[in-house]
Amino acid sequence: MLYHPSYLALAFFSLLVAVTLGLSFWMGGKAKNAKGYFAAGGHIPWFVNGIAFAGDYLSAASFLGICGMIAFFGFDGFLYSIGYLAGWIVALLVIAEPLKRMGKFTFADALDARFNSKPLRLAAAISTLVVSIFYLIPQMVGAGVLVKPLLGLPHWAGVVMVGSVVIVIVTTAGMVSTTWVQFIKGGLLVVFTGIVVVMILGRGMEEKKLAKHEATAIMDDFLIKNRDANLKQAPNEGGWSDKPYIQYEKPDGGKLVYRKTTGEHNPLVLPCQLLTTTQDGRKLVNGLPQSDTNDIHPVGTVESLPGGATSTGPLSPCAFLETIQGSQIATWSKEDILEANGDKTTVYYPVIKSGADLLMPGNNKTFAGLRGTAWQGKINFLSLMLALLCGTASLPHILIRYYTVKDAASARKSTIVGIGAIGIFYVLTLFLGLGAMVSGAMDPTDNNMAAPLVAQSFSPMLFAIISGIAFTTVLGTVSGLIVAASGTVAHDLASTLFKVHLNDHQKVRLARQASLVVGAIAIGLGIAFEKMNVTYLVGWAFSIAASANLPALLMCLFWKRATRQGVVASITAGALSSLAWVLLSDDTLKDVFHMEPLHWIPFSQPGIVTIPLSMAVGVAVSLWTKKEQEVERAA
Amino acid sequence: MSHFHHLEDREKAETPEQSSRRFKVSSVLLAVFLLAYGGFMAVAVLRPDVLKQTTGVGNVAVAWGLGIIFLAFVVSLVYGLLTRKK
Repeated sequence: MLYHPSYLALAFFSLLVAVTLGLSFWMGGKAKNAKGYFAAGGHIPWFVNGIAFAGDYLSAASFLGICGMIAFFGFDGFLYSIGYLAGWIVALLVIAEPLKRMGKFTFADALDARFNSKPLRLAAAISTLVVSIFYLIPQMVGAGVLVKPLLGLPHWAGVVMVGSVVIVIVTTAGMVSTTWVQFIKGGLLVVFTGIVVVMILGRGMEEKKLAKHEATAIMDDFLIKNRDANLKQAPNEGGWSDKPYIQYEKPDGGKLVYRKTTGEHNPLVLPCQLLTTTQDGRKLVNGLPQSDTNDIHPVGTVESLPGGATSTGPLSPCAFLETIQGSQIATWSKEDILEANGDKTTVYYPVIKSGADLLMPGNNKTFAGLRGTAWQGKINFLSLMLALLCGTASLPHILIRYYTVKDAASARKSTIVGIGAIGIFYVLTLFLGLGAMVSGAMDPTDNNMAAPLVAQSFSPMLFAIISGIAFTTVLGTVSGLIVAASGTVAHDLASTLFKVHLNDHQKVRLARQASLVVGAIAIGLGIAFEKMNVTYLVGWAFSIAASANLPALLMCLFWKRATRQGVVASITAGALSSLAWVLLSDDTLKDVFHMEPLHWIPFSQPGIVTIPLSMAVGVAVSLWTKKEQEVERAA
Repeated sequence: MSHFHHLEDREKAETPEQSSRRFKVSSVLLAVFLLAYGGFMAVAVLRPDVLKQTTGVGNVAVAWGLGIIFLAFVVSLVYGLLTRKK
């Protein structure tokens, strides 16, 4: 769909940026020493820190990705919500307090507090940097994806804009301003998502049937019935051959394409939409140049409501879910076709599904294995859900937030506030996504636009506000990641790897320089990975964090016989095995590198193998080195 | 020991009693939560038909999912209350 720059959205975003930058400069004075810069002096009130947890965690992937996934595939998006939230329980019950007691600024601190070992600090620092960078790329790509339709700017402009603002926020006041950005963003996100959901429930649902045709006994009959003097049936050539489409050419060169499908009672043909990219780069919609008057039209409608009703009126949350369950809903899928002349066409076609089916897992490709018979698909699902459960508690930018409050009790209280805010947000997202699904405002070419578009179906002002918040979402998460990464460079790498001893001021200066460099790298990667699917990268970051960091943290915090060699081995084994697994999996080879699958890896999500592997390596090496140490001592 | 290991601003360690109490509380709560979470995943893999059953909020899958989110909040509150310093 073509989008026009929304100056309201730009104005709202600028206002948010102005407020956060103002705060940054005002608070810059409080971040003079290392504790002020890296941990906001440990003075952040626990409630603010709790909402900032939500702001840190609810990234663009959570907000735009999950909402889009629910809007197009139903329950599957909600599985991510459940997994992401469950991770917080592990963080609260297992990690939060011991970590707060052991550490000072970084994840490596906590491990180092027990062993005081340089190789260990180095391994933890490298793992922090790898996970942060993997998590940064999708956030930056997300900024570009957002800016294109909303402000009418090219991808790189969005990445540079977000990158520069974040660098200013982080270099001026480090963790202090980062925390307040996240507090503002987290609060706005929950409040405005709530407002949109109330409006969705107030509007209720309305039946709006697709212009479908029944194809009676023989498909040819449809052709005869619809053979209009102006329409000429076109042959299915090139990539179209053997595909279930019927094509017509209009006198002006436009195309009308139907897809054959099996209806509940009769075979149906449903109208499709075509978006063609010609070899010289022009965009055609249904065969004619894309323009305001000839564009992909918005989709996502209710075919039939329960009990034959045509509209529902306002609904309670339970009644809304019940109504979805009993409705027939037109969702949209796509198929890529290579034309005989070399042009590339994407066909967007409706699939009428029952609400009961959409409220079950397995509609999206990632979870489709659940509905198959092969064991790999089911293990893949379990593996992803395990990585989500274990990943949260080991993400570096989440871990450092435990150091911004004054004591372990505050760390605990702020985690509880965070869980409350994130939980409410995820419940709201379910309604937001399902509301978007039946709003008739979805862009079939871009799932990520579901949340802003459902807001637009109410008012342009709401669209501007939600889009502005979505930008701020990227700002908050990116700031947190850059603080984590630059803290690691200044605090862990400089003092161990390069053996530089810095005083407090020098350390802050180095961290500021490091944020500048990490920010610049993030901008570069955000531009370079423009075409990459962002959900893959978020999944990778979770899998790598869960495999490399969690077993090490657990051994370090809870196992007396763990040795430093064991912990280093565990981090190394977890990071390398999960990285190798994701890079060599068939999904990555096919979708990211566009290569032939090698079939080396039986399923694409590594967690279920690499998390236990990392643990096993850590335990084995610890036991082995313990024995050696004892032998040495005895000798 | 380097300058970074000054512990003056690190709080006092828990007493062994506090620590073992916290460990007990968190183990029980974690087990309860993992039962709900793992149970959902197991049912989704082994008996998906169970998730299809209608409930007052759509189906069992939605009810269970919302239940996990609600339970997460309850578990965190209970943990907060039980480990509060007397």
